Amino acid sequence: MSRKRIIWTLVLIAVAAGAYYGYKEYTRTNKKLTNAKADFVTATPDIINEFEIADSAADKKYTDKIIELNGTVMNSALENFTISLGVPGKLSSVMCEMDTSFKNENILPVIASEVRIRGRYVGYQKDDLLGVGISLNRCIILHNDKK
Amino acid sequence: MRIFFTCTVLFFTSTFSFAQDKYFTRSGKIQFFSKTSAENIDATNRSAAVVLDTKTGDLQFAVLMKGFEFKKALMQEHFNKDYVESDKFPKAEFKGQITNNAEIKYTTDGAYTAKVKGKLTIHGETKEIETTGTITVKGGKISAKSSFNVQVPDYKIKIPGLYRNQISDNIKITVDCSLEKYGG
Repeated sequence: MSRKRIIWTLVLIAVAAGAYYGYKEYTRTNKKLTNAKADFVTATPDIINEFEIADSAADKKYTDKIIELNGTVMNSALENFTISLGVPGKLSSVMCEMDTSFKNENILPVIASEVRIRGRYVGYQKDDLLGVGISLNRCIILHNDKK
Repeated sequence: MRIFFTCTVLFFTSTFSFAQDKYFTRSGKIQFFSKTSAENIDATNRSAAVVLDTKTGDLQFAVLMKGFEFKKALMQEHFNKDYVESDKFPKAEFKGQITNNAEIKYTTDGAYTAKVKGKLTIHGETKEIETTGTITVKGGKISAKSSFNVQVPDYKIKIPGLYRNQISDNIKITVDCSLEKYGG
């Protein structure tokens, strides 16, 4: 095989590999968190407390991290696939947007049940009226203690 | 003593009334949709905070930009890092009012057209917007829906040349939320 042909073959392979990589990257979807390792494992009252005392520091700590937490289901908006975990008597809460595959799963968290959830920290909102709202998305339920 | 007692009763009554007029949610749904010949892009955020004061018609919503979920992870990353710069501007907010609030009977079941006017802040830029929506009252619960368009350049959001043809300047935003009474 001539030298020119070898070079052109290598160039074509590189271009094909680049095109394949570009296509895979362009069509990449967010991975489900089923096998992801949590950066933090905590409980709903503790994380709410962290944000109520020092919200900026807590935000910095959890930004782009995966959190696993136990909590009591205070509200569930199943038309939106969101669950709110909180502490009785407090408006501050952790809003968990369930993974889009959730609607196909036969797990229905009942209000007042204890759940263990893994999700990606999105951010928080804080105001005098509603307290602290901590948001997680791509959430999956690891354990559901139905009551 | 009597004056003190009267003042105390009035204070707690007014506080209770204040709370009674407010409805809220932390799971409001906000979607945006971009349509071009090259590609249609949509993203959804399901944890918008919304507060409505049924007495005054004051309406506020706030949404975390990192909470918008796209089908494609790369688009989501570009959206946060390059377009809306969500580390610098983490929230989008609307503060406004239902201008025909007196026409909405919040205690009677029905669907009411709401005229909304206020300030929308995205990417640190604030613009006055005006739109209409529907307030539905059913069994003591209130839900609100609205749809309006925003122009991307108005909010100084810069789209790189490479993606120019894939993202429209005119984005449709849809708000859909079910509100519960503040204080239960």
